[in-house]
Amino acid sequence: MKLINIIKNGIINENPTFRLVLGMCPTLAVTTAAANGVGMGLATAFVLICSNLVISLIKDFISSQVRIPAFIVVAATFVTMVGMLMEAFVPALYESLGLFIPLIVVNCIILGRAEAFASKNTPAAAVADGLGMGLGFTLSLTTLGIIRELLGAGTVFGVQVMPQSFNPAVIMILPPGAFITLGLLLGLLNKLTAKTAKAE
Amino acid sequence: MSDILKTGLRLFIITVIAAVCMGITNLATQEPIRMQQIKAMNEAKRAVLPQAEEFSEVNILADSAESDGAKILEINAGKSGNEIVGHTFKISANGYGGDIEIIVGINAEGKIEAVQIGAHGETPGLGAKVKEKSFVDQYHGKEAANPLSVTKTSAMEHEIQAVTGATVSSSAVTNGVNLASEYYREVLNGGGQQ
Amino acid sequence: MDYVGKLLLILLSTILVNNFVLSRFLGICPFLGVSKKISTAMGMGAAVTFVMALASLFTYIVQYAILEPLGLEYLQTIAFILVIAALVQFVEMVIQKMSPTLYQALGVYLPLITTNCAVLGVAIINIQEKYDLLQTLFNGTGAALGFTLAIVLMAGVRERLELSDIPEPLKGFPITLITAGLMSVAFLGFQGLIK
Repeated sequence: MKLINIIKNGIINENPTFRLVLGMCPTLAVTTAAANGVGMGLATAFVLICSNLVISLIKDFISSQVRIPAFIVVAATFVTMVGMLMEAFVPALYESLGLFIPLIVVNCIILGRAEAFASKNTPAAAVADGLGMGLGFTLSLTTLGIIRELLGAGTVFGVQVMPQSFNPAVIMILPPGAFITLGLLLGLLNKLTAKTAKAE
Repeated sequence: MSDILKTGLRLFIITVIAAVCMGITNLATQEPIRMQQIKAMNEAKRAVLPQAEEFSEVNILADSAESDGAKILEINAGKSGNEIVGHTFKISANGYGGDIEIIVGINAEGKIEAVQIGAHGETPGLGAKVKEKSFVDQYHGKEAANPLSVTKTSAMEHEIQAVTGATVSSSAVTNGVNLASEYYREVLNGGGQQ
Repeated sequence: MDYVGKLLLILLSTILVNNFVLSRFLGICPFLGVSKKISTAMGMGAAVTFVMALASLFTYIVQYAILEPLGLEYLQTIAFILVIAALVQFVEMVIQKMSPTLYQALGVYLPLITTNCAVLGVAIINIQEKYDLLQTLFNGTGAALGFTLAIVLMAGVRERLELSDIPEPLKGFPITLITAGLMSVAFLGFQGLIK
């Protein structure tokens, strides 16, 4: 498969959030603000690319029975590193994302792609897959974040967009808002893809 | 037997390399992290007591340093020239998702100058909103002579209006501010001078 | 007496007020995946409760007996996740021996408990809140019971949904998420329980 296609695949055809329905926990939790969505998406993308690369490089070094613990060690190492780097250089984002930074290690996208792709493909392809999936994840988190922040606080990336008279629907940044927004978005996307499938 | 040994050894090598990577990153980021914390603390002190030109740390009286749910970590006296213009308190309060770091500035007139929120583990979009200006600005001008309470509706003289949907976080912050006020009343102002 | 009161408060808080799934967003993947039938949901809930209680215990020991004395707190993530992975392996073997039917029913979802963010999440929260050993156990068990409650309730609703007429685009995950949203609204009502 050409590398550019692998990247596109991760963003659209197999978008981790909307198509594979993976990584739900951070998706719902951190999208209270668009900036958090971007930050989490990029941090996850970093871990995904690095772990995919390393796992693809060592795939012949470790036997199949111990691959899961090996994947976990690799993923956890990069998660720990990205956490320390964020605390040192972007402390505000580090605080906003809080608990969900170490939880990147159990983001099903990381182990899922390690198992399904990185352990069976070349390093270049693995990096492309990590990049595509990472970008796809960042895009979906940002989209969800923009919707929830706009309706729940009247701002986008902290900039007041809605007029002063707009009374924000606080429920949007509370847990119910997360579930319902994602559910409706998924339903909408299903409807759109069904329409294009029928048209073909 | 040698198969298991080989597998075990390979896993061990991976783990060792992983540990080394994390150790190196830890060493490399320790200094920047410390600098960030110091920078944040300096900025906070200046923000809650803008009239002070320099700060010097003050010893904390252990007996009055703690209350139920809050603890004083650091007290600084703010000076302008040779005159003490107020005090800053760094307080840790039990919030909804762990400790909330609060910086309180109480000026020499016995009024709360400003409150700033530092590190916390509150819920984004909810408890985390205690960090916003619209919440902490409420403390400005309140008398340190009286403890403040939290209300969900419009706030009166000695009350603070909670962030919608985040009463626990709001109460934690108020709790911390009250501890600073209490310390000011009992030790710095009413009690002995330092 | 006050100490016991605090323990019960932790229990009440994790099950109802800050339900791990519906308020804290931990454990969503299995919540969406294993909630189709009430019986499977209960089995999963039981397995997760067992794992989370033990994980809370072992990660507590690892943190305070190994990581902190050696100044290795930054290794918390990797140490905890390895403890959890080992625990899940162990639980898998136990269930396989004791109840092959449950083992079959849970299928691939059993090893997936390792990636259940609720397990790692509660372990980290226990340390963040600086709970002592007993509080840690209560928190871990309570969180798991809250997870079980959410997943069983969801299964109950989904079994009924199977028989309803759902618009095509909403079938599957969309309607499940919307249902979860409505359940979450209901649980918001517990917010005022603890001052």
